[in-house]
Amino acid sequence: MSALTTLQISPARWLYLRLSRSPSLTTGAAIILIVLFMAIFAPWLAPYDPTLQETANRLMAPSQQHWLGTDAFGRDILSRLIYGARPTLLLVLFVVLLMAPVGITIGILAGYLGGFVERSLMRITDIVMSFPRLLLAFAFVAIMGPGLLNGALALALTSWPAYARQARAETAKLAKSDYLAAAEMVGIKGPRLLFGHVLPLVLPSAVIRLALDLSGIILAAAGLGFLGLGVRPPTAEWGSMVADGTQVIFDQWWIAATPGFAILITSFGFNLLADGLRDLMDPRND
Amino acid sequence: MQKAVLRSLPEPHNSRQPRWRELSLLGPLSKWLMSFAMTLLGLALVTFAMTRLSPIDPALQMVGDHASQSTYQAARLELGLDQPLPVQFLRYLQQAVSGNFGQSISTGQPVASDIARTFPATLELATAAIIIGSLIGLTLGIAAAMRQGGLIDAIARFVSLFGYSVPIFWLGLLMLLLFYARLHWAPGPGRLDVMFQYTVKPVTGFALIDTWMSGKAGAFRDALAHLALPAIVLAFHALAGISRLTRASILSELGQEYVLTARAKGASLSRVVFVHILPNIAGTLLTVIALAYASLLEGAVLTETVFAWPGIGRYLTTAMFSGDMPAILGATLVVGSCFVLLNALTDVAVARIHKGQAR
Amino acid sequence: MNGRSRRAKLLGAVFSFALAVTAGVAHGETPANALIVAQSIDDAVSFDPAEGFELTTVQSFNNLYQRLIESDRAEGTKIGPALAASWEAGADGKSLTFALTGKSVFASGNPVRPEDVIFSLTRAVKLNKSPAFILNELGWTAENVDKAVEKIDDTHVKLTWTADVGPAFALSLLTAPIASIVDEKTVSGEAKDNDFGNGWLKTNSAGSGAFKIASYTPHEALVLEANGQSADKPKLENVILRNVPDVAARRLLVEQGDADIARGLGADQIDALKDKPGIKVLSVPSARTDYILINSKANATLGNPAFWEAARYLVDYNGIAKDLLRGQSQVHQAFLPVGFPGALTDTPFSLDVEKAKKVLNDAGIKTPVKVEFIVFNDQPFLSIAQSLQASFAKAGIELDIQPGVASDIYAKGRSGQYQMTLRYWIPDYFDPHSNASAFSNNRDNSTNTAAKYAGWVIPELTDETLAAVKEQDAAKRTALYQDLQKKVQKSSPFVFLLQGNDQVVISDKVKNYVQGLNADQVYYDHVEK
Repeated sequence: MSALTTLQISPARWLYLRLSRSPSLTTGAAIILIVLFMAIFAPWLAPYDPTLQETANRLMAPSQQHWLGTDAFGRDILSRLIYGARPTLLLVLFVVLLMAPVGITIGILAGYLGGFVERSLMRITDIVMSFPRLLLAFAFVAIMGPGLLNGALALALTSWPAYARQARAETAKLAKSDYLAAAEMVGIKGPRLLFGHVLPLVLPSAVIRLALDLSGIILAAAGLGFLGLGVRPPTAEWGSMVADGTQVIFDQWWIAATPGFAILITSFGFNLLADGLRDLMDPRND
Repeated sequence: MQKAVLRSLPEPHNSRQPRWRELSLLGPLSKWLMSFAMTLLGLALVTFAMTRLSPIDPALQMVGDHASQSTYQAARLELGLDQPLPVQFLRYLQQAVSGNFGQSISTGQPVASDIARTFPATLELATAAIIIGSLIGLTLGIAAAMRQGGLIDAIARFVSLFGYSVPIFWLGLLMLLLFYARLHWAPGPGRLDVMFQYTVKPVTGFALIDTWMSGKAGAFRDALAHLALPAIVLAFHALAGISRLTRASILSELGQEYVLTARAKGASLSRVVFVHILPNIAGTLLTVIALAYASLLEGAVLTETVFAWPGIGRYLTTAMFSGDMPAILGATLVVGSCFVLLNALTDVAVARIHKGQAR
Repeated sequence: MNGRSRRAKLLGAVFSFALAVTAGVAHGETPANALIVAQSIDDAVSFDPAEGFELTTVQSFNNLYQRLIESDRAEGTKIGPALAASWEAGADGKSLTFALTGKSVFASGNPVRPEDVIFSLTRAVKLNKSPAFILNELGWTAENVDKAVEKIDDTHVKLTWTADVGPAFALSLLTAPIASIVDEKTVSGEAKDNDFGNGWLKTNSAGSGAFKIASYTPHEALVLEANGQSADKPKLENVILRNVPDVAARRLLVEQGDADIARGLGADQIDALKDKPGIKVLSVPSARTDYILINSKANATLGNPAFWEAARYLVDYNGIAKDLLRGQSQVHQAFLPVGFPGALTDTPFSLDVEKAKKVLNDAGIKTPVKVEFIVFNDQPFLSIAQSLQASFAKAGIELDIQPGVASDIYAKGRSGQYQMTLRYWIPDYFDPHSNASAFSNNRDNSTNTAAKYAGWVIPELTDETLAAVKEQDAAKRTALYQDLQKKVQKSSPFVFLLQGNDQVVISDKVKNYVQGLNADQVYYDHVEK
């Protein structure tokens, strides 16, 4: 876990060296960059408006005009695929922004304060950790209503404990070290100590954990979309595109196949990246 | 670093902070039960809170929009919605403990009997999946570790990465398309062909056992055929984690002193792996398989939806779409409890194994 | 890649093992004495005719139970005898006396007696479940219904009512499924905690229809078995309604011969099946109408009749009916469906963006306008909604589609917490009043009607509606309903779009399947294979 902190070279150079040596890291990073690029530049990349309906041209097979064919409303599937990267990445971003800070804050507080606070916070963490994550997320969105934010909330609601545990363990270790004792001696206390000095040291391992979690979040988000619990129509979203395609899967199979493939590739990219990172941290796996 | 491998599975509890193990080694079963009960209570509280925060009105869901106001009021009374929230929660808990989860709005039946009917189907599917998944996963993991860096290792790595990355509902759809619609190898969605469904008496609720007991070879084959596709799809999910962790644990053991000693004495690699290492890492493997099993119970939601498998997962999704609060609450609680129970039991079992080895 | 082919081999091996077992599982044959119907039965809640109000259960009642009188299978407005051989209206116009056939027998073997009629009708009112409002139309309540239904002698029973309606209307109420007659002796034996046997009847049957329930497993299957006591014994031994929630799978089942009938297929599935040998598509008009409901109290724009008018020109009626729902619906712009007496069949509105823009502009409505549009999370509503979204956008009206579960949408309708929604209406009984009482009836927001949900207070139209239901002269009554429809069509917070058309896919082997206009008119008794 401490590989990052013990290296003496600049992070950028370290990253470059590592990337050049690990094919999975490079491939994973490349896939994610491409998906990101698609999401950001969707309006320039997409050949059509993703919500433009031409009901006269519905369910068309791939052709010169529509490379991946059209869906049940005559919308261009390629364009929807490109735009579909947006809600997926946005949801991932929301989940990350919601869950990591909550988990880390709880972990740091527990680790630093110790005693009763630690015991009760960790007890709650343990309880939430034992919950069936996916199930609760589905139930939450079904009950509270579909939408991007509810989906993110649902996934974040049950994913924070891993971060809390990790942060607590590291904070507890730090609390015994000279570093914090020194900081306290020069009068740094309270939130400033916790978030100015403890947080930066806890963050790197949380970031790695995040990389490992991302593909799971993407799959869960796609599952939500598939069940009709994702973003609202007419916004293109991969999971709900698969669901739309199931209606005609036996005749126009490509309508469901292509967005599913996009999910697979993106999730695969994150997994490769995480795999590469793991190899860096654990040389035994090389 | 083992934890990282398990990323799509829930956190294994046997790692750095032993919880249940510590408690169970300390002895008092009551303490262990307390923690278990608290987790369940937490789960009940969270699910209950969700259903009551919801904008969905269960009484209106029950009577529909054409019904008169007095019919609607009667339904509210029947559901106990006129009571204050804490009273509703306590009443719910009290009834849940005695196995009464209220009446489902979408089936008109007691939720408990709905669950009793659907849960065996899910168990059957998840069990078949975990058997297939562990068999392939362990084989793949062991083979990969023994030929580290070789072709099998690369294949194993690719398969596990693929298993982690593939959206399971999509894989299921494509399988149905290929093996049912195109090749006609597999039967369609559902659990048993309509020919057998009403001639075979449901005794245990497990289609394989029921059809076996019925003595009709055709029925048993039909049940097996219906099970094959969804079980394989679901197994794919479990296989990824299992093969990976098996490989990683064997590799980490290979560097241990006892292994090096055995090798120095002239033991072959396969002997070392099968005789020395596997018994040592049995606890870890058991944990990962049990956790994979627990996550399959929950992952069945999507697979069952795709394959129209009449299990608790599909029951839950239909309940979700009809705003059937008692059913959502009951099914989440039951699956969640199994999940929690499996987690807890695994920790106890692992602690036992470690204890045994320490002696 | 080498790894891939190895993986393929590995997977291939697993499959061959698992699927070798399946070889020999026969495809394409259904049992000769049973009819296999592939449909969704996920909606079924109760098979008690006093409670069941969902498509699946309502479609079963005509096969399980008989009523005193019944709607003609081909021409729904014609009423014919069933358990009652004849009937006579009282001189005061507020009573009916029915003469039972005296020959009818329940599946249990018990004869049908006046006591069964009294029990069935009074329990339906006292249970006060969803469809109870139909009998409430007669002024029957839990308190007075005991006096309203009385036995005259062993074959005669008399019904009286207090509401200001005539015998013709009362008769049409009695054709509704809630007026089914259940076997008092059997049901009373199963009663618990004063539930009039409701708990038991939810999954069992006790009627005199051609079939009885052999077994019912929620979300899996409903198995009907021929009623041996039935005078008109059905041709088939069993009817099995198999739950196949996925439409694509349903289509494949009927195509491969694993099902005899498939119900509720989408337009795309029907298209794919049209030219396949061995099956045919039966198109049956249904009484279902789809309409847009605008909440006139939501804001000034939505309350402006100019907005209602513009909305009528912003629907791509033909695009929806022809391209999206091909054959599953036809354009229909009045509140009475074709097949009901007096239904308006003209379609004065069509997609005309310029006209809509002008109407909005003349009324001073500034665009763009953003409107929340709540829609059932189900087909065809989501498809229709997305088409509306595209056509409304052309006039600067931005529809924000919010899918929701049915109860959520109903609740928002009742409380007025919505802006615009897409809904459907299925008549509850075979009389124009069933629809008129919803769309042209709201004196002072005191009863739950569609007009009330729209916040549309219409005392004059309400008077006309109530006059129409009282009218005894059939021709005059029809004229009154035509007039009401015209007024609602011209200006109201409803935009009527479509009338449904049920497409049922049937194997060529199946003969004599009959389905009528109203939702409950599904008949399996004469089916042969």
